[in-house]
Amino acid sequence: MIVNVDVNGRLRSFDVLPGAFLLDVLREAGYTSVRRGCDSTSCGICTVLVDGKPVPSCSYLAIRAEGKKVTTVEGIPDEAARLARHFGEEGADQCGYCNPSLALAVYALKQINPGASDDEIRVWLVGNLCRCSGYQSQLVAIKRYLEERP
Amino acid sequence: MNVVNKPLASLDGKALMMGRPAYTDDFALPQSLVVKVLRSPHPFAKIVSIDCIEARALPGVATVLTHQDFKRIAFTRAGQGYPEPSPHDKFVLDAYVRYVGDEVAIVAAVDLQTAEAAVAAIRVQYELLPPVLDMETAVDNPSVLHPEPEACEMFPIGFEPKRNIAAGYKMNVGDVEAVLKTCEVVVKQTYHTTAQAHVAMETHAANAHFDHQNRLVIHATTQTPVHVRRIISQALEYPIANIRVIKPRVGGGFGGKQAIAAEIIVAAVAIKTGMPCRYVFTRKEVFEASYSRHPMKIEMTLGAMKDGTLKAIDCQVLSDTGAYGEHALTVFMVTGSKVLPLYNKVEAVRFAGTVVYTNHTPAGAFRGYGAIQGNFALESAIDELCVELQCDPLAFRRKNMMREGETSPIFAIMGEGTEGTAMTMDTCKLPFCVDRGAELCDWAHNHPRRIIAKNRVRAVGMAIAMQGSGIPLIDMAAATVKLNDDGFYNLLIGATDIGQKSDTILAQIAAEALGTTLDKIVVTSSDTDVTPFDTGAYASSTTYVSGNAVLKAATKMKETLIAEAAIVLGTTRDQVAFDGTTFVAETGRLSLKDLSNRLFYNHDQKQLSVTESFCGHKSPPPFMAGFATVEVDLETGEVELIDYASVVDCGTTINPKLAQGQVEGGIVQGIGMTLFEDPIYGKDGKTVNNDLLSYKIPTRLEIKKLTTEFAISYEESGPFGAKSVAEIGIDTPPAALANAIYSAVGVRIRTLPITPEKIWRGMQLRAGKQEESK
Amino acid sequence: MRIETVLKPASLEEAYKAIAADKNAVPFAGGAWIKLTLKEISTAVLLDGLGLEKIKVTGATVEIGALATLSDVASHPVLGSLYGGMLADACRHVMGINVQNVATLGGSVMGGYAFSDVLTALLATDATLRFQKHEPMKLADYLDRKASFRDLLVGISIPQRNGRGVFKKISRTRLDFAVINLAVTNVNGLYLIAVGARPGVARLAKIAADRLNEIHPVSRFDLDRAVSDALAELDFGSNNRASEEYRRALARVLLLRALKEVTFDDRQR
Repeated sequence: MIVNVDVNGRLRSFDVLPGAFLLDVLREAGYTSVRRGCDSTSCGICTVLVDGKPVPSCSYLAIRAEGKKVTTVEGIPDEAARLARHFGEEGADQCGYCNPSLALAVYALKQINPGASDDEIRVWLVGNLCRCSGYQSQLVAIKRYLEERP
Repeated sequence: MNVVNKPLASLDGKALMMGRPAYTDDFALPQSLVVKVLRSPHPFAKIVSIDCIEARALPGVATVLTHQDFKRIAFTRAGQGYPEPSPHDKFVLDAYVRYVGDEVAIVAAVDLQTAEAAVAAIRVQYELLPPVLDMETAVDNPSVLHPEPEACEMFPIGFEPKRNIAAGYKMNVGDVEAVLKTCEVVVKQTYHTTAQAHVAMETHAANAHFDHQNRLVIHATTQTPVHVRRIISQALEYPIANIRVIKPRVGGGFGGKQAIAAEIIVAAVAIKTGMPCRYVFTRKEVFEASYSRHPMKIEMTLGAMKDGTLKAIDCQVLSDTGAYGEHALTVFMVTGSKVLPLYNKVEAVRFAGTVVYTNHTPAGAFRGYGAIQGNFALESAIDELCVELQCDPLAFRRKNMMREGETSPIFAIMGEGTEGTAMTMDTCKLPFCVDRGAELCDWAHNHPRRIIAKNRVRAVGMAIAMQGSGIPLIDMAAATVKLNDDGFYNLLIGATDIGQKSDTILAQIAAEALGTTLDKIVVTSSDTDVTPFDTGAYASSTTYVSGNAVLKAATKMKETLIAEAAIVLGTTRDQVAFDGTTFVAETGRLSLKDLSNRLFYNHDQKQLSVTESFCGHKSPPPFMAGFATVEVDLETGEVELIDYASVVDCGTTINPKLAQGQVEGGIVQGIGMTLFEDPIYGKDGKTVNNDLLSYKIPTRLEIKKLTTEFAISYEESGPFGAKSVAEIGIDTPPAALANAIYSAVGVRIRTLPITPEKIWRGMQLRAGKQEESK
Repeated sequence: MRIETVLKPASLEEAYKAIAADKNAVPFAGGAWIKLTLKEISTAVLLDGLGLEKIKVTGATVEIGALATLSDVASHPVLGSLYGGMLADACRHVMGINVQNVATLGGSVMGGYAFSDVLTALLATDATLRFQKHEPMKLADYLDRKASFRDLLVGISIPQRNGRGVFKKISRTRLDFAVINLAVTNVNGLYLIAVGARPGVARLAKIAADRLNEIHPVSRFDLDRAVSDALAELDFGSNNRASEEYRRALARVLLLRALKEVTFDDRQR
């Protein structure tokens, strides 16, 4: 069946199987930034924004995105580059596999709570696992990014 | 130094954050067949028959492969140098399955749905065999995992397959029994560690296709591209010269991607079908069918005098390698060789043990590689001994631990599967690490414990650790530095960046040696057709071994450039000064840019390119002291980690922020193994928690604070004074946390993980005993 | 996990009919954990666009649509303070924000997950379930029901009462399911005590609450007895996360802490 989605500001039509999930549809369409981690809603790696909210695309039925705005990290290049600069300064980036999903989740947080405290940042991102960094350098980098006023 | 020891941003961080195609599955050709594997539901069985007729007949199925399609060639998935210290006991597919998750059949189809349908359509008849599911009963069990005649060792590793023994080893210095008899205090305890899962965020994946020269090109999530190439060639009898292995970015490895997993399967499918194919492990497959950490039972006996002199250590190990002996011997040996030398002043030390086969998911390489298991046992036992001696754990360690300029006879005796290499500790800042860590955690104030609230106590605990910097005389790395017009360089390295950012720190070493900046170094790594040899990312080898190769190549390139400049300037080499951009001599000046363009386009045209290799004669250990500050709820046994302070001696940090990331990532992975990660096998031999809903790694909310510092240290044999730093971080948390929890509530947990329930039970037991004694 | 077809019904009635007609038809309530919990779905019935996402505040109740997400609840101004924000707090304890953005209250109820934090908190609010066909039913009665029925949950109604409430959970990491969870409310001396993940699905401790409700004012001693009553009337068991014995010990500690919090002010505790 056909599903019409605004992906990063561009209207796209995807011909999908009824049970297809957004993760698979986006990856097949070339949005390689959307990545598979656990496939069971537990790790946050596949996070994309649907109407501005972080959701796990591995378990989000593609056809539910009909008429919605889907944002992958390709849709927020300037914000991702800004966050990357702080990650680079803090050495917080390591394997990078989780970073696009993290950029999206942090960007969503910036829209609603740019003054988030350390604990608010941790709670907001608790569903975004990272096995490389130990989290602390990421926290510092994310705080700097949120504090940055363009 | 201008580039080394500077916290520069990584080369690839920005592009990865922006989501550029970078990881293995991003490079699968769009028309690739999708590969799925039918895996055994039984821990031990003989395949009586496989009926693939229905599966093969499904529209869209390209191939279904079973053991009948493969020649029986024993190999090991371990992903080590050759000859491997792991037994050759695995077949691509076999008529026997030896753990739940073992491969039964390989399917390739046009899409995932069809591949899954084909897997479901394969009918297998199994003859169930009695499984061995307890390492304690494995030796001489009537059920033998590897009776097959092909299974063999490459050189003596104590391999006794008929007894379910994958490897064995023993060594001693002095007479432990005799020395123990002279000790005033002896502590003997048994410790258990778990089959921790690596949980790299990217699951194992590989894809394969034939290129324009009809060569087999494999992209894979591997830590060991050259070993993948060799092992695929051997196991599939496919010409090695026709195989190209490319490692793109990898989403974490931690040792889990040293193994050959998906690579050999996509290679087989591509060879059989001639078509491109891709295989991405599900998270369940990673848990069930890659490999885990070796669970161990360690009996540790320590003997000391009342004045706090440690005189003897006896360490007896039983290790469970699961169904295949990947890293069986070497992980187990590191349990001794990178742990016991910490206390080098003992009169006698003994190390012995057995690595057994069971019908569990295989165990293999995992950051820490035996040292974390041994460290938990030794550093817990040291604290237990201190309780008996009524001695401050810091004072005891200061008196007995390894110091700079000293050695241990163990270095010469024990290597990784072979004899070791004698070495003196030219750098060992353990005394500083211990003193500074004690300051950071306010040991004086917090040890042994402090009441925080009615039901809450705070306490600190610590442990010291050592690791290595590559395997001496075995691990080899090479690097090529190539000059380009305009005066920038290519750095070609076989070293394998798996997210630890080795491309960046190796470029920093090259830039420093060439006197240039990071933007003038273009790194290409881990493509077996393009980059020079490197054994791969394991054994904490990259900074030290690959780093030394890069330093040699860059230094040689600088000399070559000066020689060329001297010709142009009409003088001799020793008359030319080069600052990285300009050659200056009394006869004139010449920019690197002009020299480069001249060499390519105008006069005496030539390509300047230098390749150098490095193979270490020693493996200088990084050292650290780890201090855990915890608060324990006296009613529930819950533990809150308040801070984990690490003071590390890894020589010069090539990139201080990235080194900190290596330490902190290791610390948190070690904390996970200690407090949260609880791999469980069911009575049927299945991994019970084989997804991320039930297998819990630490989240951001469990990690409140990490304090990480580096000792000032300069290892003469390392590149710009560096030692390696990949693994050292993971070793201390199990013992430091166990020691802190003991200090807090008087409960000693010797079996990981340390769960609130175990602490609560310990507290109940203590309360009961106190009640009785009243 | 496989979904054969997807239905986008135009009305709740059409959705109901689809579900009633086929036992392998499943209302799609968010999708969290779908790949682990459901194997074969003949028809996934999408409920988007049927007005079930809304949270309405009436005088006496808060009406939460079955498709309201856990984040909708967590960020709702009235639910954020009702019973001390207990329900919102429970929603915030479920996985991370991305899951809270898709998981729905309806899915949490109809999933009937034993580990559910939301069910436990809802029980302590005296919530009532509203169905497309069936008469409204107290959540507590629904969980105790003898005969099952297939119906479409359309909403959950929560009485707006002035009272205190607290939700407590112990889990291994913040992303893990509960080893034990509990929720307690106190509305002018009328208590509701719910304990979940025992590891069975959440239940009310009725005897404990009824006895407390007889007493004014409640003393520390009464709370101790209520804890003992609750432990006696509820069943506890063992699984991979914890043993029965440890669960009882945790329930004892947490329940007393929770009861004190909803009974006394800070100084009295």
